[in-house]
Amino acid sequence: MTTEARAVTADELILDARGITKRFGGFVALNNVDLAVRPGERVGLIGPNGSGKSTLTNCLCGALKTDGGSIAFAGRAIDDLSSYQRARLGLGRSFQLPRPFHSLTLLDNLRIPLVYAVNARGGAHLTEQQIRTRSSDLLGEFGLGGKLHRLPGDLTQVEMRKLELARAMASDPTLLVSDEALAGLSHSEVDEILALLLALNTRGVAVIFIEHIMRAVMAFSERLAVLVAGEKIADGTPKEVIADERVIGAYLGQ
Amino acid sequence: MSNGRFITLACLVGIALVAASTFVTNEYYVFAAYFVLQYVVLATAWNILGGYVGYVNFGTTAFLAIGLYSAAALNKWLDLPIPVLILIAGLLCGAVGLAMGYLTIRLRGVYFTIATLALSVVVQTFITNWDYVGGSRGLYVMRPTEVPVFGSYVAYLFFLMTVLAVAAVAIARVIERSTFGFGLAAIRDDETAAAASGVPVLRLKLIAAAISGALMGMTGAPLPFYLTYVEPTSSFSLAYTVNSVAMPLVGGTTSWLGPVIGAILLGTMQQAMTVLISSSVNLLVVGVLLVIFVIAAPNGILGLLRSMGGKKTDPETNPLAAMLVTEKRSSQ
Amino acid sequence: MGQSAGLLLDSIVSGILVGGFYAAMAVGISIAFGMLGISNIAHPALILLGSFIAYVLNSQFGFDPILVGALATVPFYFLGTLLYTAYEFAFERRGTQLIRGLAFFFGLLFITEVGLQLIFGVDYRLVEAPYIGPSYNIGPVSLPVRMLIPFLASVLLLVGLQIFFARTFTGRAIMAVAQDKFALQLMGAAPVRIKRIAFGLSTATAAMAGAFLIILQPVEPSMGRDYIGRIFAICVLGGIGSLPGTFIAAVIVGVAESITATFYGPSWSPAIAFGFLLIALVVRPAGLFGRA
Repeated sequence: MTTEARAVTADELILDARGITKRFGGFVALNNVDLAVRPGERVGLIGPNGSGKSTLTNCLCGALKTDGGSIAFAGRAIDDLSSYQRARLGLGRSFQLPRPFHSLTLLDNLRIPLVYAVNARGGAHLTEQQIRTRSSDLLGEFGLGGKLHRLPGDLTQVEMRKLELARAMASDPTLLVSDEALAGLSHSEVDEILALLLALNTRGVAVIFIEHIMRAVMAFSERLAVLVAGEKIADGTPKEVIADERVIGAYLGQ
Repeated sequence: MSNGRFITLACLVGIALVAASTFVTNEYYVFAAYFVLQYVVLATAWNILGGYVGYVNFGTTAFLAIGLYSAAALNKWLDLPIPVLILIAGLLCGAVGLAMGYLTIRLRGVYFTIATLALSVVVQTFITNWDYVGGSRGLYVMRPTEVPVFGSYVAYLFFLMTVLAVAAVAIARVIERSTFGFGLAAIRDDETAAAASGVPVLRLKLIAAAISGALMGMTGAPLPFYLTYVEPTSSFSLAYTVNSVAMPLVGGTTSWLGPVIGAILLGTMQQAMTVLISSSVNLLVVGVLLVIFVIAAPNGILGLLRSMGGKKTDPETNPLAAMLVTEKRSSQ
Repeated sequence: MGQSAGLLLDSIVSGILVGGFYAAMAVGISIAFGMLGISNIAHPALILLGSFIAYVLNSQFGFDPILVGALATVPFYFLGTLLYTAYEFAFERRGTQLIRGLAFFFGLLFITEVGLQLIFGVDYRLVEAPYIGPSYNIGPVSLPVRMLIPFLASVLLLVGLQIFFARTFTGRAIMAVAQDKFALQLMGAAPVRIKRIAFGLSTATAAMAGAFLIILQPVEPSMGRDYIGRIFAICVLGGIGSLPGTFIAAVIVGVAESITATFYGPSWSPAIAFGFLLIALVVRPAGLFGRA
């Protein structure tokens, strides 16, 4: 038995994706996928490898064009907007494999979104001093305060993940798509990152949390969606979803 | 060092160069210096798109030739002062860079490179078929009737090229430390992540392509008046392309200093070799150096200095090192 | 038949013949760039190298150029595997930027060209063979044998390669590498070894293409650059990695150039290929036959 999310009006949603379809040649990667996220909500997204999670992320964030469906962000249709425009609207993203700007210091890694997303948004314009302060403060929150002037090449795995999240947060998003930020981390490292994400969420940032580590998913998500072979087969509270036989059969049972 | 101070310093260097040139009696040295200055501009221009953004242009010759022939043609038609011709060449080649970029930069980077390779051949085809500039026979160029302030016309052209070199280096340095430059670096390091951080990727690439092309074109504009005779075979010499690629790669692509080092080193070396051995061999050496550096020292001479210096070149402990080697990336 | 209609027909046939040869030039890039993703812009210089080898052996010992080309494929194959090993070690392993790989091949292109210039000078060289000169005539159409033979040989070459890629294990493994490296590792074949073989094949075709070139026309060292635009235009137009597509695109380009040359003069030919390249890149980067 699947439970649909409580019906909300479009205005209340930070993200309203409907009927997302994506084909690669003859292969249907996504088939009519709906995803709705309320402001400040924590939505988990799970599914087997190859089920289309990355494709969905790419479609939402503008890296791929959809073959069908519509995406609205904060009430506004964003289908025609490119990646950088969506980032400026407040759609943040952290990548599965960290993609730092490897020739820039950590401080300058955060400078990019601060200048190109926050400043470019209009509204409050950050001065050079404010950029440095904000950058070092944010890095400090993520425990990277001692390495402001180092290059990403000097970081450990976990620190790279933190940098990735810090950079995504620097663009001041209202929705963050976190793509497998925990993959390959140890037990305590997972807890560390989870705590950081929860702290971010308390600031009002909605999070789409794509993960395989079930205990993290259960701990973090207010709502859980399941993607299998390009289709959403479940969407409800975590407890309901993991009890769903179809979900167990397609994913959890493995 | 702030941009203002840097520009002042660069201007002083330029003035010193020009002053020195007026005292030198052997015109060959002035010619050699002109040659090196030309490459300072070309290497710097190439690096703005190649080093800062990561888009490889193998058509430097085409841009230079467009600048060269537009100046020659305009000179034949109207009697315009050379600085005006330089500016026009810059606008024209900036537009070509923009167009090339627009057509190809949305695709994988390698398609831009292929298009620039083909561009050289195409521009050469057009010029060879254009009788107004002499086609394959070549064209004799009359120097404009303006009276140069300097003693000889060659000195005037040297002055112009020095101005251009100072301007190119200043532009490169200003770009590096600007928001625009950081955006370019982000694009070079990871384009997808840059876009996800709000960087307008296509727009910045196009601006870089336009600036790069414009500078290359401006370098070509004074040439007809220097040589007084232009013809396609030498105008489209592969030497321009190879040098403008090799010099930044040998010197180091991450900062304005790399192309300058590369231009001075390789330029001087080539002049010496042409005199001592032959002109074809020196190009061969440049090609070999290019391959060696690309394989063994991908960060160029600047990179070698950085890794050899160890602690001494650590920007956090040595302010001089911070200024010279990691100049653009230090957050002093 | 009216005179200009006859001229048109002749020029079309000529274009087809040259197009077949262009396909032989382009197939190496179709393999290296299309299937392996390696931008070997030095390929035209390697073709010129093949031409000059044919020239030397023909002028000194009187060997037939096609024979030389066929024999030269063996050392060229090994040269290719050597180049790939160097390339793979220096670049792919370290995962460095595109710029380095391109600069590497550009350096090779340059060194080869200047090297040939230093050895042979800038004069045009040609070969002599009994089939260079005579020509069959069918109505207004002339079929110079020196164009016919390279055309037929090119067709054979391409058909042979297509069979190799479709039927043999190694060939199919190469196609698999082009699609997905992981699938290949699952199959147990080593991707590096397969890629090395493929790149060697790519260089080997340059030996034959070089022989064809010098049969068709006299050569001089800097000619390679004229062909870069053509070759890549053909590969892009024909669909990256598709051999039949490459052949058809090559014929299209050949015919277009030939018609232009006949009615507007031969000096515009390089611009034609560039025009095609631009159109191909703008309209359909995946080519006429490539995967979307």
